[in-house]
Amino acid sequence: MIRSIYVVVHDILSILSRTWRKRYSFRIASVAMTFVFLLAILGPHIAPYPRQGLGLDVDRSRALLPPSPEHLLGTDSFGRDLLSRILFALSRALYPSIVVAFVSLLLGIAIGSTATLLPKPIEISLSYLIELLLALPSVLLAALLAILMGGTLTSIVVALIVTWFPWYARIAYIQARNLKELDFVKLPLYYGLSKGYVIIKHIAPNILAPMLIEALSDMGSVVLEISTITFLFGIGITSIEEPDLGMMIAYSLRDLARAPWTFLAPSIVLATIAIVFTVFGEAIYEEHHPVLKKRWWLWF
Amino acid sequence: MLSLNYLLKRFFASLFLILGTIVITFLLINFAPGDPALVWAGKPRGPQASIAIEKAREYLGLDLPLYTRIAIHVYRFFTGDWGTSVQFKLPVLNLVARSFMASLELVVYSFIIAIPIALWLGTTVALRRGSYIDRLVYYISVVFAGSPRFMVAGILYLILYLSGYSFLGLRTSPSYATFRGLTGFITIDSIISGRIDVFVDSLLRLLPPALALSTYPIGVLTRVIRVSLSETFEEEYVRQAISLGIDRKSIVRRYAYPNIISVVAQLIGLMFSYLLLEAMVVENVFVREGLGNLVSRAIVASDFPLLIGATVFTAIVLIITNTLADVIQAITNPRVQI
Repeated sequence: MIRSIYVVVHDILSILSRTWRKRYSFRIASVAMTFVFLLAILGPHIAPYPRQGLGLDVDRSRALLPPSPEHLLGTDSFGRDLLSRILFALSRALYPSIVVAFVSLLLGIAIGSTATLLPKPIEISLSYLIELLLALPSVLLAALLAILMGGTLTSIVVALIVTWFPWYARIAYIQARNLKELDFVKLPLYYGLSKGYVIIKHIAPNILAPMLIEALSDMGSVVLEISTITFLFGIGITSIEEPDLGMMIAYSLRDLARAPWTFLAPSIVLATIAIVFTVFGEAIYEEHHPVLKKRWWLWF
Repeated sequence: MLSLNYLLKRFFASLFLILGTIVITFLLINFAPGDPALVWAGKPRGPQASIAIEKAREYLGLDLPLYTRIAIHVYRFFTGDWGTSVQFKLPVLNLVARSFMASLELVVYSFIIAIPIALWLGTTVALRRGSYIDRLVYYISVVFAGSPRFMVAGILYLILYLSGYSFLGLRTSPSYATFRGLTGFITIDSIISGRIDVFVDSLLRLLPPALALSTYPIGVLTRVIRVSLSETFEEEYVRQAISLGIDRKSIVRRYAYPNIISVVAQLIGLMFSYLLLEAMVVENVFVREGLGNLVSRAIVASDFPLLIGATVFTAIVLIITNTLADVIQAITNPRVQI
């Protein structure tokens, strides 16, 4: 077990360091990614006006102020400091996307790699099920679950896991099917070792490393998708005071002509997150992985 | 390779997938926390609530065995009885189809804008690999594909608003609000019925959101066309054509383009689903009628039949487009093994 963890970590580090040496854009992207994560962790502690950031203090007399030394990004329509709002919203945006990316990764690997060793009829029906789940529109599914589960963040997370994990299952399935023909998977099966053991010991460690990186770079899209859902329907938050990038943008649209900074600041933050994660992933695919190189095939 | 066998296989597979989505949504209603009838009736409150729940119970047939109910549910979906919307008191199928056509119009126009631009950009870049233009277009396409659509739409809206463009928001001007047509595409309906004024008005209102939406396909298609065209340029038959001294433009047009049709068709099929969701966002910014508007009003009223209908309808359309894309790929690329 420890050995296979070591192998996975070693694979990831070697992929990262090789790409770091070759690609200039990768260096910028990974530094920016670290910066985003740091801001998400430290954000609530370094925010200049924490009470305004949480939405507790509302001062209508200071509404829609342009950026100034006092308020670096200006204030929104309730007179709250935008920078503090964004810093609080960042951590709220990143945590659910980490959950979505990694839960769906684990589910995908489990289903994708198990499917290859199962009897043929089950394998085929599983692949149909995956294709079925891929056809479900994530935003509408989130809306459905919001009615059923009461519009909490959990409903969005569940809906996104249901629509994201089939992609990982498909990638894992393709890779595991290639591995199945190799000797180190065939031999233990001939010796009579159980299929579960072979999957955990021989198949999963070999497909885990590239897929972990895939999941990391997909987090940008997940952040974008979550904020799109909150932007559209306003579900996933308990009150309008709560800092959330999607809701901030949705509210700022009313003051678009009078105070464009309330709209531009959060959307530029979102765009930066999405683009940085994309560039990070793309540099790695182009440098390395033949399976992931045709990534557009797996984009949606 | 296109064969009757393949067509039949794809047809039945997609039929099976459509059945699957209908069954999954039924299971969602059935195993939802709480009473299925309560959910289907849209969680009614007030003195008349028990009547609504009773009606829903009758409609769902809750005392029948599960498999019978699934069969009834599937039968109803295929005969067009999708229930009645709680919020609008209208048949779900009509509501969903009308809003869906509004969103589809946006998506279709954004593809009409995006495909020529992406083809031109991708070809230009593929012929000058490694140059400054190549780098520039790469970063532009990353920004286009990666930036959230509400940002692009909002900035475009802001620019147009500040420049005094008066055709913002809504599908047509309110004075043409009674205009109804056959297809649901206002731009096509107005031409059919010969109303040039309606056509111009709706087109001017349609173009800005379509332009905002088209940034995504431009970004993605440009990169994919660049990669697959440059792969084609390495092929033997293209090199042979170059060595024969054929004009470069006609090499691209006659030898390279046919080779990427299958890739582009496949990609457009895949992008379709994502663009439909993005269209909902753009509609929200430009205050247009459409699927996003419908769904957000349905959520407020817990309108379960309408949401189920919208989800199933969208899923069915996505399955059909993906099947079509696969068939086009099979036609254009005889080397694909099935």
